[in-house]
Amino acid sequence: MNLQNQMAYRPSFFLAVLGKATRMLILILLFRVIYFNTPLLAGWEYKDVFLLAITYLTVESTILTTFHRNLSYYLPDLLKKGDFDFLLTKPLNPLFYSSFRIIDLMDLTSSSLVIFLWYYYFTHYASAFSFLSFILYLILLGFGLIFLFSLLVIFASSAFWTINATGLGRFFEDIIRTGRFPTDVFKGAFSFLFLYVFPIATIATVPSKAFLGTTNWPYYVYLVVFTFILTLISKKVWNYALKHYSSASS
Amino acid sequence: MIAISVKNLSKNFEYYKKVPGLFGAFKSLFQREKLITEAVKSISFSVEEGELVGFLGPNGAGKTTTLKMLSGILYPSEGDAKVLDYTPWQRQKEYQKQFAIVMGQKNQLWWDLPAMESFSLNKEIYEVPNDQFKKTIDYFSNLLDISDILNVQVRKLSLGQRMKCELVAALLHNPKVLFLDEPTIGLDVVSQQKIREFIKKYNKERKTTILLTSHYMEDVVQLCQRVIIINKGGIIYDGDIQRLIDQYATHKIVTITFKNDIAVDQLTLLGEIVEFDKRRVVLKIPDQNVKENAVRILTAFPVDDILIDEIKVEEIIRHIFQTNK
Repeated sequence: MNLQNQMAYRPSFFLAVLGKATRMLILILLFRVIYFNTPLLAGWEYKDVFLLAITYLTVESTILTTFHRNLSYYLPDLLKKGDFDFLLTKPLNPLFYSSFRIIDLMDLTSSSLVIFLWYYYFTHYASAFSFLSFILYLILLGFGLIFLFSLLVIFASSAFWTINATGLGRFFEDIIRTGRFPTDVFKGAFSFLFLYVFPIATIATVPSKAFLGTTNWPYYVYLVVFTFILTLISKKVWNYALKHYSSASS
Repeated sequence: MIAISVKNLSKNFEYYKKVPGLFGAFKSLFQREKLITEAVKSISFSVEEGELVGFLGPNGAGKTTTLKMLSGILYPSEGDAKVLDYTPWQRQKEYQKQFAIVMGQKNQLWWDLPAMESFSLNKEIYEVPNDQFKKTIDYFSNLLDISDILNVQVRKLSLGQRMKCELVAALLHNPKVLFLDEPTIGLDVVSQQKIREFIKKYNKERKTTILLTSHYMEDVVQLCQRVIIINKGGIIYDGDIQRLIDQYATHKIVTITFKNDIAVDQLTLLGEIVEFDKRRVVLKIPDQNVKENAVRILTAFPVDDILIDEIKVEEIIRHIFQTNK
């Protein structure tokens, strides 16, 4: 139904789709330009970075189409206007409904370009890969999405107090954009930060490496435990925020 | 059987004092003064199944906050409440499927889509079977005369049409308890009357327990036998509306039109002068003196017309609010 809602404004819809498609192509072009000057970047060849880029774009498209805008922008708007009241009275999980209430048709349409990029990768760059590597890739991708979802739920919960949370939405976007690059380019403290403290490596680098056949099982265990704990924390924070919801005056 | 039971329910809101100006805004980043408002102060009441109760009070009295607690939107600061034996703020699905709330100042319909799309969404959310959904839509379409606007974008509807659709969206799942928060606000008199007639009929036919808040006294007078008056977070009256009128309406309003000009000092002994014009006077006369004074007026003055009215309920409520300030 939300799709119908967005298609009610056609010119805006087509421009937005075009803008998103351009942004995706710019990322691929950026890597192309870098690799005109060097054959390797932190041990990554162009074809591997292409995989990383489309992995990142797949994750980005998934979260933009589903929960990102819902939690970063639409939720604060609902809280500001007091329309979140109705959401709390319906026999639905408020977190589920807040996160997936509006499915962004523009992002859904632009995501079709990702499918084209995947087709291009398989026909031009992919060498033989094992089925198990692909399964592992998908599982790690799933954990990356859970990590991002939990992180955003914690950020979004602050909107129950601050109401205006667009700053947090942008902060979250900046975080995930860091995942566009192989985290191997970071050394020392930054490498530790992006692998263990704020594991944005889970967004694209870790799954891409698994796809390419480089596994790191101890790190995967760490990732599972980390994601599990973060999910629990996000649930607690969300429930705490709901308890302190003060609605808007009528 | 009791449908709504409220015991010592309180709600406090915390907020921070905003100092005006740029310097104030900068200062408040580091140091803020916390303030607490007691929106609802330890109120207790109960409502029987099928009862239609008016919840009256001025702006900021705590009416909407109470309804929001009973709907599970807000957690109380203290106290307890049960609606259909459920604690509202536990937000159990079983409870949520049995009540509905309509807020006159907010809308739950999708703004850019026809109301029918929002009804279909609610059908899925509340798991209303297809045949029941069709019957309910037909029933409401006839009752509220909305069959021709069901497929019109909500933003193109008038306020009255939108409120009718809001009511339908809220009642699709046939709730046992209905909270109506200012359902007639902003509507013209004709639309107000239609909504009132609908609420009355719906309550009578479905035996739905309804708690209604309104600024319009007509809503309450026409719909409710019982009123709960709340002011500054506390209940100041809970009972029959007629008893309230009997208790406070100790005077009658007598309006007299004269054939000739009359001097004001001739009338002061007959009652309290509310309005005076040389040929027209409005007097407030104690009940026990009305008959005797009316006879005196008719015999001693050149009366063209005389009208004896009850004090309006609005006046009574205003008086109650003023004396409870």
